[in-house]
Amino acid sequence: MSQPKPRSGSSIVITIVAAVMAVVGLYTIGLALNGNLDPTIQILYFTIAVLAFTFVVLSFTRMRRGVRIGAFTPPKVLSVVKCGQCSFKQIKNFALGDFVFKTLGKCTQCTTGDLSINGIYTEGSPKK
Amino acid sequence: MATPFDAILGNLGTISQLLFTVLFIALFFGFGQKLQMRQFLWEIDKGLRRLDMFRNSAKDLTLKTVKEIGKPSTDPGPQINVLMEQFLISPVDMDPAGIVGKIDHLLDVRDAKFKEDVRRIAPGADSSQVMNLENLVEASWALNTIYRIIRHFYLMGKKTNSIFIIIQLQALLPLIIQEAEAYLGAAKAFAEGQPIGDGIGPLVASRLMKDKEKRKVEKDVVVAETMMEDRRVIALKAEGPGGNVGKPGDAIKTIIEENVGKVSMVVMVDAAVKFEGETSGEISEGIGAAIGGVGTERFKIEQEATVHKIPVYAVIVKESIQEAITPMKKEIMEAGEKVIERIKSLILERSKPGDTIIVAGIGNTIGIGQ
Repeated sequence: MSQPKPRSGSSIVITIVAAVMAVVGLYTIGLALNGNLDPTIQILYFTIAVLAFTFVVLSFTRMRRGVRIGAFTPPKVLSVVKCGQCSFKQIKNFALGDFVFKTLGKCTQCTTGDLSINGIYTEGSPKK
Repeated sequence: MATPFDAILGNLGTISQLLFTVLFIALFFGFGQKLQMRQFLWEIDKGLRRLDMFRNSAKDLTLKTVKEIGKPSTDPGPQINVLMEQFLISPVDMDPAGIVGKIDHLLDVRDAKFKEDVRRIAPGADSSQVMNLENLVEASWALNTIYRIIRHFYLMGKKTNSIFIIIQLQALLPLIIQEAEAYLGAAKAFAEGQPIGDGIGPLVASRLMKDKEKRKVEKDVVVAETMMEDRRVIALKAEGPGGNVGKPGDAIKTIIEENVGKVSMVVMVDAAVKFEGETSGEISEGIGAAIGGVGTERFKIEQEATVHKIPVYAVIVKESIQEAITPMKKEIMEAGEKVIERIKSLILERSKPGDTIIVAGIGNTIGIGQ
């Protein structure tokens, strides 16, 4: 089942605002480092730069969290096929209609034993 | 001559500092709560849109599966919509005497109606597929209900401007979204008939009853007899491979009555919710009836065990709530063998050769035959 991606409109807006803030931050830090300015104005520029960079950092850390929760993909499910007589074991992708202890016919290795699904599982945690 | 403009320029530092202080006070003390509430509302709105997406995905999957498996002659959409809004009114508990029977009856009626409704919208499905479809519709119903409840509180918080409703909703939302994601995973598992983490109990029971003669007791429960360490073991589980939990309480009662109370112990195997930090697939042993749900089945087991003085032991496999309703993880499946070993040692320690022991595999048996 294909999962539609969550709407990402707000993330784009935040990215644009963060980019503007980054430019503002860089510009004001440049101004603040200019030695010819009044110290009070320098402090003001420095404060604006710190606020701008704080916004950038916070908005990006928040967005990363959003992406982590957002992308959910269903896990891959596997069926373990075993022979009741010999040591034959096969792991295949789960197919519709598979269930544990379903008989799948004769074993291709020993030709006498019955093949059956011994277990159905998914490996690892679902990717998020 | 100095102009007012020069005076402003000369005191730019002081003026900007003053403005900044006023702005700071206005923002953080005057509008701080409003801003925070706006931010919370954005987050809830985002979460709500995701919940809406989940419920639509589940509904689409339900429709698709019903059409594929059930081969209905008419569009099943409207009937599925009716099922999505279904509810159950719990009985009055002012006088609690006999309430278990009332709840049990209500659940039986609900179950029968739900099954009948699903059978009607999917006439081409066999009994096992009807069970799976029923579970699928239930998962969609759960997602729809979660969405409706969250939307209700979101709109209520917005309408009343109550920060307390908004804060609670915002704090709980990540957990609710996690649960909703698990339900979506469950819907996929139910649509394809894959075993889920909750099926570990039936998986253990089915391993015990493999190649043994089975018979049906009570509602949707199968039983088989086997020998383990010179003891007669009666294993039971819900009838699979369709999604089903059966009525193990009634089945255990019947088996105890069939054996005239001469049962030395009941061992219940079930999945149990682990604490954060614990490993999935870990096994724990305890005393008491390990069975979830509303409590009616547990009540029956406890009552019967008390009447006949039969000890009830529980062997549980730890897993998270998400793992319990999504396709079974490898470590949970592998825990099945360890559970059988644990049952063997429990039997050796707590019973004598020749004794009769009931081993009940509790949980949803979807994707697990017998």
